[in-house]
Amino acid sequence: MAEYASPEELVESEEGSVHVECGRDVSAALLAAVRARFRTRRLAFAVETDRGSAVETVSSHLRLYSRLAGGVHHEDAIAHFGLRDAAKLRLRDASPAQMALVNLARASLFEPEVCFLERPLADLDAEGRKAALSWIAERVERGCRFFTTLEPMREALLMPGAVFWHEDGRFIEVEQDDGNENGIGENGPAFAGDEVRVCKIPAKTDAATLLFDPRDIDFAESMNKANYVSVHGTLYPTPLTMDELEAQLGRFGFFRCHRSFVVNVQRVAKVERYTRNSFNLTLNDAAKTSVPLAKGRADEMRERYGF
Amino acid sequence: MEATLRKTGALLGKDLKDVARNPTMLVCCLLPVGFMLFYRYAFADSMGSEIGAEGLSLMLVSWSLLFTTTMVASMATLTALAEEKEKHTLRTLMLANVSAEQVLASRGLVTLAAIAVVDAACYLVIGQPLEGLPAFVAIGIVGSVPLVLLSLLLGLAARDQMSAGVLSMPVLILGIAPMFAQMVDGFSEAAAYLPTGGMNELGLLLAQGNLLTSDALVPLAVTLAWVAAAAVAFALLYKRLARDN
Repeated sequence: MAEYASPEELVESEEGSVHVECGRDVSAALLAAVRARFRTRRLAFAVETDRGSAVETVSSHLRLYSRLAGGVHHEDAIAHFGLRDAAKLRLRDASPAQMALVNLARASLFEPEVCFLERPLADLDAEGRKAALSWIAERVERGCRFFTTLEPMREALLMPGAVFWHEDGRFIEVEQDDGNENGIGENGPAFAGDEVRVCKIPAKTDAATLLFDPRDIDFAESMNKANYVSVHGTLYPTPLTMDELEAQLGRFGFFRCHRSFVVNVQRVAKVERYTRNSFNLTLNDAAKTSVPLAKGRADEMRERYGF
Repeated sequence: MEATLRKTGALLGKDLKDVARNPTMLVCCLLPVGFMLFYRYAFADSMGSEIGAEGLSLMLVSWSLLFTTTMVASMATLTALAEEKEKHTLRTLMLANVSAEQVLASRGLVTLAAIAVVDAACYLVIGQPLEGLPAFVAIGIVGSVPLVLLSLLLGLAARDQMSAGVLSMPVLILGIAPMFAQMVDGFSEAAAYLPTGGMNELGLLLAQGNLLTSDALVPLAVTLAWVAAAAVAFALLYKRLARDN
């Protein structure tokens, strides 16, 4: 696993696209490092606090930047990012999700070689995430290098490229699936039809240990050396390892879709493939959460569940 | 070169629309015209009896130039830049491969265009002869350059609209100082050498029909000297201010 001591080192590295789970200060430092390092390249930026001029409409804002960029026509960007209905909306009236899409659409107008995005998926619903991720995947296939800062880690893992988390001034790479691993799910306890066993998943709060019915769990996630289960949109830390979670939850219809994720297959509403190497599972939980599906596990999932 | 022209053209369009759509800027462009209407029709009798018709006419010419330059320069440049910084729209532009030079050139040119339009409107409102209009507008544009450049620098230095309000005070005081000079004994000599003093004198000479005489040489030299001084100060400071802010 690679480690870098500063934003400048990370930007100078030979990593392709880089996605970092970090706070706002680190995001600003990374933006400055990207800007300094790639000054001579075709750059595009989308920062979370970009709001545009209040009196401009979505369409006029993108038309201006289309003229500045001299690249993609603004109507094409409006169509790709699903902003047709909001084209005449003034930016001051745009919702956070619409504004996030406008910022991404603006970045797309530059057909960038290097692109910095700050929390690009934070406010987006499932459709918005699909538009954003498919554009990012398409640009990566054309050789664009992305630097994104995101929270939580789950969003970073949806992106094509290396994922890092920031701790004590260092950028530490998250180990990702290479597609050749044999997880416990393959060798462990097989799904046993209507077999019934008592199983409760422990999770901790400040004052108590909660015991969750597996059917209430949407997914389990590994993040910053800790594991969590998501129940009704809230993440609870659990003392179980990801392998233990996979082993225990496997018989309740859970699937290890990524090194850092075990997902309740019953909750999966959509499997999306943006490029050859980019998969995404959209859940039908309250937040329409997106979780990554590792390329190497996609075939196993198809074989096991038939989709 | 083509990219620079394309970007500057796009910015000019945006800034022109801004003047028309931003209520604060629009009001500041309309105020000098409103003042001239007011002074010409509401105060004409009382002031005309004191200073005479010709005196009133000269005063309105002087005030048209001074009001327009100070109000439009401070609002369409200084406050507009500060607003763009406060709302992060300037940062978005700078991150879109637009240079500080292009942003400032566009803002400066649009401000001078707005000054030309407002000057022309004021000139027509105060009932001056039409043949003097081109010269009046030219005097207004050239004479406004020092204040526009100063306002651009202060706009870069301002962190938000509130600090822009404080920073616009020197522009306002400096801009309309020649107007007060007419009322303060001993100050009128010095006022002719202030940044807008030369412009004011040239306007008065135009109204008296003496613009194309040797009397115009000194105010013209003063105006050009201030334009040159402001340009040098701008060239020395804008990069640092753009980088630091």
